[in-house]
Amino acid sequence: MEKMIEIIVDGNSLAVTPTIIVLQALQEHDIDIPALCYHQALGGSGNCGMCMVEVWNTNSWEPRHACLLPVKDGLIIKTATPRLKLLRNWAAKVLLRHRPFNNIRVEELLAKQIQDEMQSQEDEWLEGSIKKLADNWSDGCVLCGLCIKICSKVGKNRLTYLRRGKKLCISLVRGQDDNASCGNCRACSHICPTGFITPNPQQTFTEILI
Amino acid sequence: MISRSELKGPSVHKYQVCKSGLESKKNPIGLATYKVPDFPVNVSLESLIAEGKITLCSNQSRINVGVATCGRAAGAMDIYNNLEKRDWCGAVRVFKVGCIGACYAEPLVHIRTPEGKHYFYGNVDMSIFWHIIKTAEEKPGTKTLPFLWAITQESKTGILRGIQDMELIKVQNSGFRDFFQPQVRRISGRCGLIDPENIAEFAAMGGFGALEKALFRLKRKQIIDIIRTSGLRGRGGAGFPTGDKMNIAYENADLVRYVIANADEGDPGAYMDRVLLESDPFSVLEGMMITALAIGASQGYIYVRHEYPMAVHALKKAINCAHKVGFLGNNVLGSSFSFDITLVESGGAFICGEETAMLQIMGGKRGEPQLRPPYPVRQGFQNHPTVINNIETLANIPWIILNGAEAYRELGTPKSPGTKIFCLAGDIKRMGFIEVPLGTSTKVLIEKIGAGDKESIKALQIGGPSGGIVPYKDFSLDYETVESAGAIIGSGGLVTLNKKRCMVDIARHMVNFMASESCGKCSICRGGLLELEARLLTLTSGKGYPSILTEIEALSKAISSISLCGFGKTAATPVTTTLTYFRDEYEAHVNGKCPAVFCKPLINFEIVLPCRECHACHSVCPSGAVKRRTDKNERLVVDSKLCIKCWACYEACPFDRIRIVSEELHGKDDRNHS
Ligand SMILES: Cc1cc2nc3c(=O)[nH]c(=O)nc-3n(C[C@H](O)[C@H](O)[C@H](O)COP(=O)(O)O)c2cc1C
Ligand code: SF4
Repeated sequence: MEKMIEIIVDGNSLAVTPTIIVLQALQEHDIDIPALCYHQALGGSGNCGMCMVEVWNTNSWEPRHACLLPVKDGLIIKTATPRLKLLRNWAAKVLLRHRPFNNIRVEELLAKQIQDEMQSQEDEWLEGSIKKLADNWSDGCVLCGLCIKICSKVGKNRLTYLRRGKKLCISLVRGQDDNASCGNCRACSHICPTGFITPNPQQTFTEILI
Repeated sequence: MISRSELKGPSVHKYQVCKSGLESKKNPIGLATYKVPDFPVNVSLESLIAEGKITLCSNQSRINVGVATCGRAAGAMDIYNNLEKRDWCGAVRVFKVGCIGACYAEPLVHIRTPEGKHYFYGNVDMSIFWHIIKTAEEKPGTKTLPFLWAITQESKTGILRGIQDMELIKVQNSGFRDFFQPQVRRISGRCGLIDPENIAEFAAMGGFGALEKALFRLKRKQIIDIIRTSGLRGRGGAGFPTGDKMNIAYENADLVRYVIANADEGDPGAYMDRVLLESDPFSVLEGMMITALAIGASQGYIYVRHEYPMAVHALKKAINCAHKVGFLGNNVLGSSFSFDITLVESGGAFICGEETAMLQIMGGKRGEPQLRPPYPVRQGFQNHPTVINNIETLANIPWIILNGAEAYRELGTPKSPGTKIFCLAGDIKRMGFIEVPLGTSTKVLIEKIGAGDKESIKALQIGGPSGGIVPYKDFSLDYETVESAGAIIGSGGLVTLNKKRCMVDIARHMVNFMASESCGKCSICRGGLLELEARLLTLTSGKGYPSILTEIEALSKAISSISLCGFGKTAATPVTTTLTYFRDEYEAHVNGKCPAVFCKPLINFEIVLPCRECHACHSVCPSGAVKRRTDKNERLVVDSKLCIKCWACYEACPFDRIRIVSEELHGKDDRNHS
């Protein structure tokens, strides 16, 4: 049995194993932190920005990603401050732009984080202009990259990000035929948090590398 | 030896394009046409200097044509070809050189006569060829030409170590003097005076002196101490003390170390790395060699964007040339130090200049920044300690080694010593590449060197798109002052914005750039910047709503706190700084007005009385918006429904009777002021 270390979360001290990250520690102790792009087998990537916590760093509180922060003896963190609420609000808003999701639970989870819903008229205009500005917008995919990671780990490593910035998308690198391009393990569609990859990656990722 | 060194020339990128390594070895790409001067291998520095003096300070006249990218764009190659073609009967030689920095005056031609006089000609075209030829051939009676910009004299004829060694004896063009007088050319002194492809000329101008000193007269630890006491700070953006960085690598237990020069200059408006590489590539190599010697590296990389074809070309030649004369490769200058440099051509995206993203690319991966720590200086390229430095930082190192830390600290401020290269751009008359001591006031830079009109300048954008936009006033340009104003010195881009510019639109433009260049890993950096851009677009299209400014503020904060790398953390700075300093403009936009009368959806054109009915506006209007009113007195009016806000009528009206208004006649026609 490993020696446990102590971290302080919202004033309560918790005993945790020393090799894990803060998000794991919180989940083990049933402290609810929203996290979309985290999977235990793949580690954190800091992509969705939902798991922010505040960490005491010598003289100030610093917002950090719980999924990227290793636990340390005496670490002091807070999980629900007004600032964190605001940060999660924006992170959720950005993700919710990709609505509707096939997985309705994700939509609910994100919607819970929204503090102030804007008047619908203005939001409509914003939504329209955002989709115009990003010229290949995909509804339903938040581009978290979990599928890419899992494919490189257990699959044929056929998925990749294409382009950057506003034009970022995920693509399947095709082989000569469908058999050569994908191993049909469906790991990506299982891991996809929003349920975007249906029925299989070949039909979902149509963007091709030119 | 020679065949081996030839293989070093082509970049990694080129090798990758080839089907197999073997093929590329048989056929070194891009080298077929290249011939270096035939030096014996391992020449001594003295003989190199002597060789360089022959062409640099000879008793023949020498014509230098500036053919860096800026010169070429202005047509310098035509001028060079024409001068080169001429039969000079052996009296004159024509050279291609880099850029001396006066980019506003390109093409630039500069003549050195045997008695050590230098004649500068700016904005050269075919019409003044005859004068150039006469001056070069030293025909009497041609000394007072109106096209001649300045004459300088070497302080000691035959000894030239840089532009600072010359005395001004005559100026015809006062702008030229104002441009150069406040400058101190420490590290860019050779730019535009030497042939960038000629290693001998570099040596004759004081090059490699620092390397020789470091190799034979200093211990490794001493080199690091000199750099540390000099207080040199990284010029790539963050301003981290260079000596400290070297020391961390030096003390690391891992003995395999690397040096990487970061020439992936992505900031729009900054081009100092390009000018240095195109005009004086050997000084960068020398700086790298000294760094490598100090930290104990035997392999270096130069990471340069492929959008800089001339810099890539200059570097390839420089590396080859240094190999041939034994300044690179095994046993540099006969010492026990061996060092080699490989060129890596990047795809050229802004984010790829971030050091961890750059290391990913060099490892063959997608350019995504990685979480720091571990910092590259502890665990970098292939997990070995790697010192990554900006090109300008490296170019500073030889000067410091040669002249000492105290001399370096003579200029600049205590916390920001030395000189810094700035690139002036925007709404000023004299744009270009300048080197001034840190702590020089903006007034000198903008009003004296750049000849900007004080009255019309509204703001300065410092440090590229992730720097800040601050109101124009007289302040000192050093790291601390600029930071306290909310911007960063960054790589040194300085864009002047005048009163015609709408700050909201400028911020939108910057955010657009950042949103397109983000690597996209963090959803808040990719999507959040998009949200921010959409909100700024809402403002500039006149669709603002009351809560929008608080939203913009909160969103900017969220982007900088959640993003993982330096890109996302600074991406919203143009918005936060403009929102602090130009809040009134934002507020006006919420109410549908653009005080600078710039945002098309918010402005209207009007014809004011008395109109002379000359119909100039009517005839230029492309959309038929200028019409004759039918009801009353038949005067001309602009139909705002048809108007496409192209400004054509405004420019056409000979009597200035067109007025641009932004709703409720707010901020009437600011365009008239400038
Ligand atoms: C988004 C981003 C872009 C950068 N681009 C460059 C660049 O183009 N050139 C450069 O030298 N450093 C760039 N940097 C800074 C590098 O990460 C690194 O700090 C620098 O090369 C270190 O060199 P220095 O110590 O000489 O400044 C960039 C940093 C960030 C965050
Ligand atoms: S902050 Fe932006 S650029 Fe940096 S890693 Fe995240 S997405 Fe990429």
